[in-house]
Parts: sequence; C-alpha cells; structure tokens
Amino acid sequence: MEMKNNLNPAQKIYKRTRIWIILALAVLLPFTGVNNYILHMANISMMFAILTISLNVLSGFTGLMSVGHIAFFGIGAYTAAILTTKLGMPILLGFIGAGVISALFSLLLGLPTLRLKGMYFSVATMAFGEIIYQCIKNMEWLTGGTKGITKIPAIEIFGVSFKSYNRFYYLMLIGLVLTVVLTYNLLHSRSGRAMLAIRANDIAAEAMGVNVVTYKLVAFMVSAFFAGIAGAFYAHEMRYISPETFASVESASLLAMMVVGGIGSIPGAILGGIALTILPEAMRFIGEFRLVLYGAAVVAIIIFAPKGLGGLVDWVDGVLSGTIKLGKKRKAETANEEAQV
Amino acid sequence: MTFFLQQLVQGLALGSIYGLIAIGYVLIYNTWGVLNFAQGDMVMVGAFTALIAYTYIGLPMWLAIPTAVLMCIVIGYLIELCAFRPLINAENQRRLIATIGVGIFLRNLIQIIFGADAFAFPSIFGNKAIDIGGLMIVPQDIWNTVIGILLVVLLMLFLKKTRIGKAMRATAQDREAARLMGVNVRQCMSLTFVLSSAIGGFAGILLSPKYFVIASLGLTFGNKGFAAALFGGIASNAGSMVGGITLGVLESLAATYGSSTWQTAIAFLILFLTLIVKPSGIMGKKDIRKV
Repeated sequence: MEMKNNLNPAQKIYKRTRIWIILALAVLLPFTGVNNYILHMANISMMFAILTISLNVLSGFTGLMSVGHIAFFGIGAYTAAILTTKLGMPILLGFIGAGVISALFSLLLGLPTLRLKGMYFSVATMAFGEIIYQCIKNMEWLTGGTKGITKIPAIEIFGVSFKSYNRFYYLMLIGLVLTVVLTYNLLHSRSGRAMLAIRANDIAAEAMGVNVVTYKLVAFMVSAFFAGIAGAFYAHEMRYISPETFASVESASLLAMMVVGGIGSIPGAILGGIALTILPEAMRFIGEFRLVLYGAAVVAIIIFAPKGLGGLVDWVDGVLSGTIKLGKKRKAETANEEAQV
Repeated sequence: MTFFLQQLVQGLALGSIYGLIAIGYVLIYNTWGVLNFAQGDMVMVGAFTALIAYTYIGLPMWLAIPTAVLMCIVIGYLIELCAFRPLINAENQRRLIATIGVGIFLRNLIQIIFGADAFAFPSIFGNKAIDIGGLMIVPQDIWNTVIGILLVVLLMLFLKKTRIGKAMRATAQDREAARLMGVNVRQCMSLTFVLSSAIGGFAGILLSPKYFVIASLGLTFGNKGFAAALFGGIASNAGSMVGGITLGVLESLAATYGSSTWQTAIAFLILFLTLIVKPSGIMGKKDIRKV
C-alpha cells in the first residue's frame, strides 16, 4: 500500500517528526501559563491514559474482557499509600510494590479463571472487582476503611520535590511515555503477536503452537502491573485516597475510555483517557444529565464508530503522511467491505 | 428450629426474586449470546414503573402492576431496537460494552427524573405477619415465592409447548438452522429480549415493597441475579430458579448466623467457586466447542 516514491517533501518531514512534534507540544504545555487546575486535569488525564493502555493490553490486544479492571488500580494506589505512610518506605519502593503486588493479584485471579472461556473470565473479573472494593472498605486496620488514607507523601527523587503540579506533570509524562514505549514494543514482539493471535482465535492459536494460557497470564500480569503503577501515581498526585474511587462501577468508565479511544489502539487509548477525563469536567454546566449522555454516547460509538478516536487518528495520520489518498480511500474501503460480505 | 424455619421462608422469598432476575440473564444469553449487564437496571426500571403507575398516576394496585409491566415491555423493546439489534452480528466485546452503556444510561436517567432519594412502595399482598404454628409469616414473602416459581414453570411450559416458544428455543439453539426451517429469527430474538425485560421488570415490582426503590437498586440485585444465573447454569432456565433460591437461602442464613458483611460477600463467593469448580453451573451441561 505504501507509495514511498510519491511522498512529497512535506509528507516526508511529517513522517519523521510527528512523534517529536507531539512530544514537544506536551513538554511545552506547562510553559503556556495554564493554571494549576488545568495541570491537575492533565495529570489525571495522563494517569487514566496509562490505565486505559493497561486495559488495552488485556482486553484490546488479547481479547479478554475485564469488567473489574479498576480493582488493580485500587490495589496499586493502596499498596503505594500503605507502603509509604504506614511502613515509611521510600517512594520508589512504593511504586515497584504497587506494580508487583497488583501483578501478583492478577496471577492469583488468573490461574484458576484464565482457562475459562471469554465470558466466564469477564464474570470473574467483575466478582473480583466487587470483592476488592468490599475489602478496601471493610479492612479498616489496613486501608482505613471509608475514611481512606491521608497524608500520602509527595514524590521526591534525589531531593527534588515533585509536589508542585507542573513538576508532577513531567513525571507523569515520563511515566506515560515509558508505558507507551513498553507496550508498543510488547505488541510488536513475539509475545504481542501471540496475544493478537489469541484474540483472533484461541483454538487456532493453540494449534499453531501458542501456549494460550501462558500468554493470557502474561497479558493479564502486564496489564495489572501498569494499572498498579497508574494507581501509585494517583495516590501521590491526590495525596488522599478513599474507597469510592475504586468502586466497581468505575470499571465501566475505564471500558468506556477504551471504547471511545478504539479497542486495541495505543494512541486511541491515550486520547480516550484524556477525552473522558476532560469531557465530564467541561460538561458540568449540563449537570447530572452528562452521565445519561455518557451512557448513550458509549452505545452510539460502539454502533457507529467501532474504531473510535484511534480510527480517526489513523486516518488523519494516513492522510498527512500520504499513505491514504483522499477520495481514493473510500473506494478501496468499500471494495474491501464488499469482499468481506 | 422455628427461628431457622423463619429464616428459610425469608430466604425462599428473596431467592425466588433472584431466580426471576437470573432467568432474564439466561434467556438473553442463550438467544443473543451476550451477557446483558443492563438486566439489573431493567429490574430497577420495573420498580420505578410500578412507582409511577401506583403513586404518581394513582392507579389501583390491580391495574398498576400490568401497566408497569407494559411500560417495561415498551422500554425493553426500545433498548433492543437501539442498542442490541444494530450489533446483532458484532463481536462479543462490543456487544458487552454496549450493554454496560445501556445500564449507565438507564441508571442515570432514572436518577435525574426521581433524584437520588429512596422511595417506599406499599405492600402488594399485605404486610401483617400471620402466625402459622409459631412461624411469623408475611403474606408478601409467601406470594413472592409462589409467583416466582409459578412464573418460571409457566415460562418453561411456554417455551416447550407453544409454537412460538419452540421457535424461540430453535433460534437460541442455532440461528441459521432455525431460519432455514422457516422461523422468523429476528422476531423471535426481539420477543425473547422483550420477555426477559418484562420478567426483570416484574421481579423489580415484586421486590419493591420490601426494599427501598432507588436508582442504584439495579446494581445490587443485578449482581445477585447474575450470580444465581451462573450458579444454576447460564444455559439452563430451571437452573436459574434453583440457583436463585439457593443463593437467597444461603444469604438469609449467613445474615443471621454470620454478619451482614457476609451477606453481601456470599453471592460473589458462590460466583467464584462456581467459576473454578464447575463453570457450566449445577444444572448446566458441559459445553463442547466445535472447531
């Protein structure tokens, strides 16, 4: 498909620089004089972007629908908070602990349930999400119950404090970039291809020599690890956590972020995370009605735009870099669709 | 002993409602091949339609209940038309998320209309306990049990004996084969969806005198009904009633002999154990996949 010879210079420059332009814009954002509220929103958006990418590893790449993913986010946040406040451990250990404990929980849940067919796995994650929520709420000696945990320390690395919103922003950005690089590499590795094969058809994948259960477990643990890290970021950014953030209903909004972004797309996951964090804030003027719209929008996107924002990004990217010709693309697409029917 | 029996009666009453909710999941799962995460919210909608018909419009009870069920049927049909039918051939993930979207939509719509307050609904069959050999029994409990079980039996007869019921079962078994046999598949799928919406809504009406009617009702009862459906076997109609009653009795015993925290945990415990030990449920057949 790619017609390298026909690229004009502008398109060539675009292809080389697109990633760097986006990164530069992201780095420059705090210098544009935005206030703390916007920076805070940006931080939370990036955290949700990490979380959505982590869900994508499991549900988007491997095709295992998790309906209780917020539980791993909660486990991460509480692990980081407990390690740093109650046990007085350094923050870095808190982060590692958040990822590792979260991954261990996924192993615990995954070993008995990943042998099950798709739907049963979704059910197990739902029950897991609810159980974790109830545990967080009721184990007061560990989690502080409904009062939550307060006075979580701000991040400090080698004496540099990341307490202010714009410093935390860069930390968050590094976290997001690392997550993207790692998951992108995973997706394009042997393991990633195995995961995609499982999503397409697990029986066929097994016949081709893919160890289905092992790769499902790998996907689940990687996914839980990143969700745990996102949780640790959340704990240190908010500096206060309580059970309500991790209620099992919240898993639905995570799924929505993935869907709006486009299932299985990394840039889509970032956009979905950002869009669904900012939209409810921007839509405050219509009050309670926004959640009704939210539900309707999820259904509408599933029906009318199954590729979500990720599909839009691919299209714009294709046009700018010259791999998609306006007008011609339609024909190719319809031909493709006809062939499928 | 009487104390134990007392708990048993309550468990039965609660369990038969769980069973009714469960059967809604089962019907839709068998025909549409998707777990309808909005089924619990349909139960909540049922309770609210009863509230509208009885309290707001002021219909007498015998008229209010059919009106409420009728409203559920209309709402169920609209949901099927807007969120299920367009995705009839889509992959499972997308349909699953669509049902979650429908759930969010219904819950928040009701919350906007009625607010976050809990409403009380008057007893349908009387609230005064009757003394039967030392057992204090509330008529509502007895009627809930009887109606719940009767409805499931009727439903099974309907599916087994009538022409349309047979067509619905054929559709659930193999859509293509049913179509070749001259069954109107689209109509049967619609009918199944509407039927399970009506049953879900009816379960909501039955439970509204005992629990407060509130927008978040669907979440708690939906999960319970769902655990019951899985425990009984997601592919079995009779199993959902057995699962529902087992869960109801266990819950009410756990609440008396353990604590109320246990009561909420038991549904999920059952869910987990079923998944690990026998995913097809106690009444389900082992499902074999053809490649």
